[in-house]
Amino acid sequence: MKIPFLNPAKNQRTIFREKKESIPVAMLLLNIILTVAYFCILAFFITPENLFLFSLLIFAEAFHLWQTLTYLYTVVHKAPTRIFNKSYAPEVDIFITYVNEPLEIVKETALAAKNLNYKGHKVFILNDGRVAGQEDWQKVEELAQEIGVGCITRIKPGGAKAGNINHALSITNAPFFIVFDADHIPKPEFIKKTIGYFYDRKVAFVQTPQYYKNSSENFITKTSWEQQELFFDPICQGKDGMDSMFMCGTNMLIRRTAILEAGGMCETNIAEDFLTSLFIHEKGWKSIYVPQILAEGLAPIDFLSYYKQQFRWARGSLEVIFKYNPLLRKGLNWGQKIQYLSSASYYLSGIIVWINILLPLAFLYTGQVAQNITTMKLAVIFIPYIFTTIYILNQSNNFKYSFNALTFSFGSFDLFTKALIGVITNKKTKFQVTSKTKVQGNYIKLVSTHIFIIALSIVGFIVGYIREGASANLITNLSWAIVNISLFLPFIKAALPEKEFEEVRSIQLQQTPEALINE
Amino acid sequence: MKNKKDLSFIQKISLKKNQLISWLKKDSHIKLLLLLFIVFEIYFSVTYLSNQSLRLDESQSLYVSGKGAIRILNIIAQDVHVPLYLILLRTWQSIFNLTPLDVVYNRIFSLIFQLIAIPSFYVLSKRVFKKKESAIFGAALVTISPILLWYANELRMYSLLLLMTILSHITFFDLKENSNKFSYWLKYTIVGLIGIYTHYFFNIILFSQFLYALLYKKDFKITGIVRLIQTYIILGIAYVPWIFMVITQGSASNTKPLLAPPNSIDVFNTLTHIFFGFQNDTINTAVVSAWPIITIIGILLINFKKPMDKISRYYMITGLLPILLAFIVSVIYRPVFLSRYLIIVVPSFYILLTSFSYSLKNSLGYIFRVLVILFMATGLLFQTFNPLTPVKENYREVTNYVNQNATENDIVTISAPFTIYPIQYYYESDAKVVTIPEWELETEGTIPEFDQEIFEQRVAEYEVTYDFIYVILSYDQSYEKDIKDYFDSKYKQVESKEFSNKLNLFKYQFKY
Repeated sequence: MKIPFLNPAKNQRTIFREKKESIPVAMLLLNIILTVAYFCILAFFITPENLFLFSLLIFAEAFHLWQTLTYLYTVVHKAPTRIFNKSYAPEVDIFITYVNEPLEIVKETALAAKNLNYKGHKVFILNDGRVAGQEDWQKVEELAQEIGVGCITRIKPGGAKAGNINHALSITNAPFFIVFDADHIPKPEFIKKTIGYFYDRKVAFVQTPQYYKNSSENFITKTSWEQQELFFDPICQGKDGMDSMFMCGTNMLIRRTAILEAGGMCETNIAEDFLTSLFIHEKGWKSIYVPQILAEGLAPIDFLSYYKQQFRWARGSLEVIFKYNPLLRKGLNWGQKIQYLSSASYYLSGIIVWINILLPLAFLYTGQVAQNITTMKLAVIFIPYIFTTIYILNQSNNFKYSFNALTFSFGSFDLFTKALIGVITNKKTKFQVTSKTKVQGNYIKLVSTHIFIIALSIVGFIVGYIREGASANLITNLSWAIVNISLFLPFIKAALPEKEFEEVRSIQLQQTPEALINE
Repeated sequence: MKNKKDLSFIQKISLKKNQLISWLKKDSHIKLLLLLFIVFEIYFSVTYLSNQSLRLDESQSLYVSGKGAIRILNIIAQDVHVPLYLILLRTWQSIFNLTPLDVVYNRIFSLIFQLIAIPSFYVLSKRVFKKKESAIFGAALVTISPILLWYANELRMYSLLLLMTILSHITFFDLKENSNKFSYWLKYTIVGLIGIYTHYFFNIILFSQFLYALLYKKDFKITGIVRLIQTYIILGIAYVPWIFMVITQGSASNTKPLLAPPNSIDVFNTLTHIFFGFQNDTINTAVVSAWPIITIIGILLINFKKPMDKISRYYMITGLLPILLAFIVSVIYRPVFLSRYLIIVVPSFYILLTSFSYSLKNSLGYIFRVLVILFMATGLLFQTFNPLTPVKENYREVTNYVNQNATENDIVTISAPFTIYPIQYYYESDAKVVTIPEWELETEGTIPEFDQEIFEQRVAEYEVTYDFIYVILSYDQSYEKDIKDYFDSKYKQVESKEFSNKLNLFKYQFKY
């Protein structure tokens, strides 16, 4: 069996930019002007043609406007100078959450945690194997004994990972605790680099990046990391500047009193870290983001794992919008409200992509357009807007974002939409740990919507061509359809079986990929 | 070792020969490829392009270059251009004893600048990319570029303008690196001098370069900036006599076609001309309407793993600023937005295109480059062989038709009046020729305004004398429809032919 963790990738990153480069003000202003101008011209200066399509278009463009402006609003912020007391050294408990991960991985993480360069820390493996119905759940207790760390095994299920942590909190007593996922191996200096911030008694938690050590393993790990990089570099640094950083589930050091005041880790949401952070901020606590890689974990290594991870995040975040809307929460300042809402609303982009897909298809099949605008006029306002936006996105991320990362976000529209439907219909979703080993399979079923849209576009082109020949409108709408399809292709490629797939199989996941898809 | 001065003549020749051989041997495959590009350019031009009919602008060039040097200056001062090209063309004609009807040989003069532009662009690309492969791709773009090939075979200044723009980019960066060396400054200044007397738009390149130098003044150091200012002062002084002449001569407008202010479509048309050449409306609409595909290119730019470097910024400035300025000037002052004037942005766009293609991953980049070459080559073929290519002006065929069909009992009318320039070179018929409005080629001053009443009076007079009237309409000056409507309403149309895009002949019967 191939465990990526034991096959470290080359050229590992150790640190993000400690000092962010500022985006030139002129460029920033230009981007804002072009973005707002593009929206205003479309919304107020062009005559609508088909009111339904027009409403959809304006809704989608309003969302793009929101995303662009909130992104810019985020990335221009920088963290203030903070108090860091090097001699501050309270007791710290370390929780390594475990459900069904390979023991080799857990062992490595526990050993690294035990050997952290700090006096006064205890390591506990939080064993949820028993409540998850793992037959060999006792093995992790044996492992803990073998390497000399604690093991807390839950007997009563409930609350998934949050429940596991809350249970551990009820048994342990250090004023601070760290949470590591089983695959996130801390570096020796983890505590020393973070604990000093808690000298400020208002600091509730310190979050560090979730680095994927196996990022060069395959197409999916690489692209996952490129997506993470955008989040953990400019976005998190910007959030930190507005005291809006939220917990990301692992690699975080937390003050016990803060989390208890917030009611413990929230067990009602599968993105427990996100919602708990909101509750903590509501109580007036501060948060800190340290942009240094102090632990190394594993990216989802196959398409199914990626799909499930994204679904979980989408479901949890969207639930926040519908059930705990940040705009309506008391105790948050406006910067925090906008930050929480913008992070959660990212997953609404699924329906926006649907609109992007629908508009050209509507023309191809019916000849209906949203607006009465010449295609060239649209080009004149659209092209400067999109190019400056892309440039700002690239510059703010130190030119590390990639085309594939963007296409993965775009291609996830289907699963984001499913998550949205799940939230609206209140359908229950099980918390599932991202697999740490590769599951072979052909996940073409997961991208069947994408393939259907491609087929629909081809047929639509034929229908449109029969109706009006190679008109300017037909070619423009066909081009939009091609743009959409081009943005699906890497996602579809990721779903296909790998050519040189090694004989690997998850030890834990006993189900077939088909069964998992159905689930 | 002997000093060069001590060598005998034979030894010097031998030394030169050896130097030449070693120069040829170095990167011989590159030189061979460039030679092939040049051979292709000559073959394609001479076989398919340079024997086409004279176009209006070309006939004006021939008309003016046929005059004495002072007269050339006078005429051009009243026109919208600068005189260098026509002076050089006149010299070319004198050396080879050419007449205006030696169209192919006259056009070869323009072709020469394009042929020099190919290796020059290779040198420019090589300096930018430091890679021979990229430089060859850049040179290939210049070789098969439909727009460049078109103007390489036109008796106008555009191929010279292109060459000067490329040389200006090269000498500008040479000057930046060697601002303390007089020879580099001299080269930049000479290129600038030729450039500003080739076309007014060359000044925009100089302006863009100065703007770039100011943006990155640290790179240029104070000596570089001073050198640039010295150049611009010299060029300004060199312009004074010409500006004085332009002011004193006044504007004649004899040769100025009516241009409409540009709109967004013109901007995109210019961009499609740069990459795909001049195509008829159907093809052009298809190409321009596919603009959303640019979004993909924009998104692929995300893969650039570093900030846009200064060189790319330079080519962005020299590529986009001229378009922007031409657009603004056209809207607020007077329309000057023409693809041929904007040939100065072509080198910058081809550098950016090359840069983009080599930023893509190996296989994707390779596919992209192949597609670019295929699209350009297809554009070239369509532009060359499609009779309805918009820039084609088949005055030769329309005149030949009149030569064969019109008799001394018929009359030929031409509108717009200045289109008589190309027609006169082919005209052999006994039928009388008049223009609408009436205007004599050698008349000083502007062409009279169109007057419906006078026009109808004249036609009534012709009706008495002639059997048929041949009406040749092109270069609509806003009254073409009035003319045609009048003839259609009064007389029987017996013939109608379109010889090229918007060049029509109508024959009406006066007597039955």
